[in-house]
Amino acid sequence: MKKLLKTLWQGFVGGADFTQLVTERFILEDKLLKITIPISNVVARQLPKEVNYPYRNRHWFNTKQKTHTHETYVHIYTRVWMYLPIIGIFPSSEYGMLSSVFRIKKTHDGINALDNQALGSWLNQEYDEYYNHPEPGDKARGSNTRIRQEMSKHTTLSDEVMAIQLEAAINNGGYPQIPDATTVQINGTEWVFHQLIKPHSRSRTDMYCLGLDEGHYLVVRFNHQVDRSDKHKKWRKAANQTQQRVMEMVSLTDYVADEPQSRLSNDTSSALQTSSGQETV
Amino acid sequence: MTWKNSGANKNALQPSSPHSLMGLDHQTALEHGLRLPVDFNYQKVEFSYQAFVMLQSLNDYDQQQVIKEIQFISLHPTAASSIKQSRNPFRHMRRSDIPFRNYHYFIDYKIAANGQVHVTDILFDQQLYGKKDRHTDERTMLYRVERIGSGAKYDGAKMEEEITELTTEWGGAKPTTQVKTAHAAINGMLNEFAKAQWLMGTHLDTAYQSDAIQAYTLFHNPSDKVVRDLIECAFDKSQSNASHNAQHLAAVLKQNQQLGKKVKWVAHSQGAIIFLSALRYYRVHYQGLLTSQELAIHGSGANVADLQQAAKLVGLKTHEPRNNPFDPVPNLAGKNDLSASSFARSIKFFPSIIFSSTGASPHTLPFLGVKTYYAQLSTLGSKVRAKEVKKYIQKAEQLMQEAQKKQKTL
Repeated sequence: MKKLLKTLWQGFVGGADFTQLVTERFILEDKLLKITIPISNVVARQLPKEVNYPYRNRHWFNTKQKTHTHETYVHIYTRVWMYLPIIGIFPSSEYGMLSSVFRIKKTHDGINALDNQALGSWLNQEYDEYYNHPEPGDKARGSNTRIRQEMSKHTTLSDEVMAIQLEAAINNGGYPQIPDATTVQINGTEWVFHQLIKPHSRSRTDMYCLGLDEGHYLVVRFNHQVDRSDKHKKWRKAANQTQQRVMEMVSLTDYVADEPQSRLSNDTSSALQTSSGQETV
Repeated sequence: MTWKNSGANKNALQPSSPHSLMGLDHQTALEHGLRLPVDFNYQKVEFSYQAFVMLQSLNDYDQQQVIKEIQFISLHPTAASSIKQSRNPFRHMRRSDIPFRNYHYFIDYKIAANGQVHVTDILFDQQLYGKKDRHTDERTMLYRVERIGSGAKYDGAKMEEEITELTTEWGGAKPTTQVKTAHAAINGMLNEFAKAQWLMGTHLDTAYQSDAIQAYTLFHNPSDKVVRDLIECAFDKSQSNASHNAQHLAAVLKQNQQLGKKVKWVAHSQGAIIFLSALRYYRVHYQGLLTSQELAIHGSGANVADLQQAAKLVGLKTHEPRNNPFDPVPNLAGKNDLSASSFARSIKFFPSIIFSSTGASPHTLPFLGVKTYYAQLSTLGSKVRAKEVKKYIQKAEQLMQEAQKKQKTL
């Protein structure tokens, strides 16, 4: 009854349930990454997880790395939560999805990932350089340059109109400027906070970055994927709170090599990691 | 903003440049594929070459909408342009017309000393297309969508990481006047622009598995909230009606045919209803066959037999539909299987189309076959539904064996 009243009050079903947590541990060279995170309400295929991430080994990193638009990374862990209507009658009526993804990334030569200011500047620079690349290519590289080239053909437009149209074109079809990276303190650790946002889009990606060594950093990436913009306010607050609470339960400590293997296995608290009604692939 | 008066035209435009002005008459317009209305004031309006080429490149539907606005400008050259999206609920209810006051093309023009209107440029109004804060402000438009991921495809049960990869596989959408890709898709109801991009890319990958699709054209059917989306479905289902989406799609099909383009389409859910309505509209308003195009039907909201028949009449090739036998949308809404067993199956699986998005839902993602669906449900731990699907497979196999036996005895 209490659960039903809570659901009616919040206006959605699904999302992260902090009474059902699971703890995962990963060895990142000399660091131990510990993640305590609510179980997913999405049933997905499960494969055994890798525990060791020898990211300083160049060959290993190159073999494991993936690239998506401006980001090249090694994936560690993903967790997703769906937000759904209380009474959904029609297909495709889900409100959206929050995903939390853990990755390792490299910095460019000369950028010290342990220097938060340098790392923050690098994150913005990497984004700007990719989408404003002078030679447009595939995977959205040079998207803004391509838009500027196309708009420059409309020579009869006044400067004022051109400025408005160009800005709108980049906001809609390109990758507009993002806010400067800042730093946030979570449980005494200073993280670099970096956001990918677009005007007119309620979906956003928040990233928390922390230097692992001079050339590598850990990224905790939260993607708020809004499928129904008219229903976003129902779950926005809950998703923001989930993001904050997950971050508070992430720890990166020094790894002691002779750590008992049992401590590296996954713990599940409160419940087994099973479906709570919502299913996905 | 739909049009902009750039002031008096003081500069004489150089002939043979993109800005050269050209007057039109009824005959010349027709020769260049422009259907200008009978009362169009040819003396009052001149087009720059650039504007003329753009107008010529538009499909019939877009052209008529733009010409309507040019005609308005020619009658009221000093009228202020509105940048507002229409919020008139009655306009939204009328499904045969666009729900906005302004069309999404920007008309740049100048008024000459003799009072003539010189249309100097026509382009997409960059403020009006794409994703919007309110999804009801999104427009029915063609977008070129690129594959920006590393090739994620839907081929069975997925891990959480793979689910996120699937939803970010397609992007970089930009508006286009024509279908310039070999593949195109029309989405179903309640699909906002961002969702339609990845979902229809995934459907195309499944429909045309041997094609390495790197880009496709999305005919975006924007969502106008649940009630109006349903009204639109009902409107298009009626044989005598064609929504503005269907009229627009018919014009796109005609343009593809005229330009000799080979296009492989996917229509999903409400998209199939719009496609059927567009084919009916095409038969009444246009001529010629659509033999260079083909259609894959997924999770059809329309009756598949009707759609195949309408396609056959215009020479459009259709593929075997991908309708999940447990999906209530094709079974009941599309009236494809109104048997008691179909009704029972649909009722049992109804919660799974509304309580799941990218997965065990029999409707959202492409149907990969009933055996794969069974394997998928089993992998995902959905034992009750897996059991139902297994029962269905066994029954189908039994019926098939009996039919084979009968054939042998005959």
